[in-house]
Amino acid sequence: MRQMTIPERFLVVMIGWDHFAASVAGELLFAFTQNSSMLIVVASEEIASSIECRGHKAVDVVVTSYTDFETIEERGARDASAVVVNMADDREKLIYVVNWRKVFPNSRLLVPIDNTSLTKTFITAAEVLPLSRDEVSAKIFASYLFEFDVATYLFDLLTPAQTDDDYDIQQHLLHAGNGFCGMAYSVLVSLPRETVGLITERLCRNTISEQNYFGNDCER
Amino acid sequence: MAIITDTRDDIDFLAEEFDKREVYTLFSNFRSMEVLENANLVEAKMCSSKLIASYVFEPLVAKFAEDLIASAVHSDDFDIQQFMVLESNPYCGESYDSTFFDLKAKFDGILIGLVTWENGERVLLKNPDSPELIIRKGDYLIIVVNGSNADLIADEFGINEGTHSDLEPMTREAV
Repeated sequence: MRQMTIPERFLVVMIGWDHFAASVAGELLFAFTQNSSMLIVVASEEIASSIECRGHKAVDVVVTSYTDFETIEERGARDASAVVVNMADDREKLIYVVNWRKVFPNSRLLVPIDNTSLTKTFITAAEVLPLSRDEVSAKIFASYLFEFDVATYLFDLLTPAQTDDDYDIQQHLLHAGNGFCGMAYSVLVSLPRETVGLITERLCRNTISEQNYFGNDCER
Repeated sequence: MAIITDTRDDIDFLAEEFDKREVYTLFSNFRSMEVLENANLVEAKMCSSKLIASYVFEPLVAKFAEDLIASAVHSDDFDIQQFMVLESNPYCGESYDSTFFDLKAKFDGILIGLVTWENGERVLLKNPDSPELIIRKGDYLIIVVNGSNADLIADEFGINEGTHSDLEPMTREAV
């Protein structure tokens, strides 16, 4: 995550603030480069004053109603690379993302949800990516019980690599002229491992309408 | 299974729903950071925020990571599993590098790490690149598998995935 190529301007909008939002912001700020910034929208000055990263040069906090889309747009939300909606309850989030979609139809919306049964509703209603906090936590926790070493490794893989001993999963776009372009996937798997100690885990190919994920298929 | 709860009603519910020999309940303040840390719950909870952050920057990586976190059921599901190496394992005594390529070619599994024992300490070697590294009995191989090849690997290794603390060299000499 840390070393990926970030577009000329990379803006993340956070709607709402709590302990979880602070954790996400911490992860994002760690990975930010010079051209990255974060707009945090909160409903009260009291909440704004509780934001520890408020003084960070990449962070802009605006106190306004969540539905004050005019003010939010003035801060650049229309061109945001991603929008994280982090309100108190799922129902409030669902209504909000539907309204957000009407104003900013092209936003990439990420919504941490509590009720996993609402996953499809979120996708259908507003084409958002819902992610159940509890579900992820439960899966990792179960992994700690059954496969302690796997869980430890997974936690490392989800964290941006900081030292030589850390590992990270990254995605790299292959431009024409890249040495691996035109190569069989099976060869691609072995070459980075032999030459630079990397492991190719998966291939994704873009089409006009969708992104197809090609699994770890040595025949392809 | 042990369940920690700070709600009296949960204790009653669990007592009615589950056999007491299978589910143990503990009435405690599980929101205490000390209790959470002991149970690895803090790291588990942090994973959600890490995953959301990953979706912001690298959505495909995050999607794959989410898949890896969940158990692999179908052939296009992926999962990371650890398999203990028994003496009968065909890769016991082989080099890590040759095992990496053989697992990929034979099972389409990706070996990403090894757990071994050094001076009585459990050591997790992530993507080790030492050509001299030899796989020994009692080690664990950490492999990215899918819903189809996981069982085949387990059959080949003669052991199910997961930790087997009773067989680990530090707790029992003969593996």
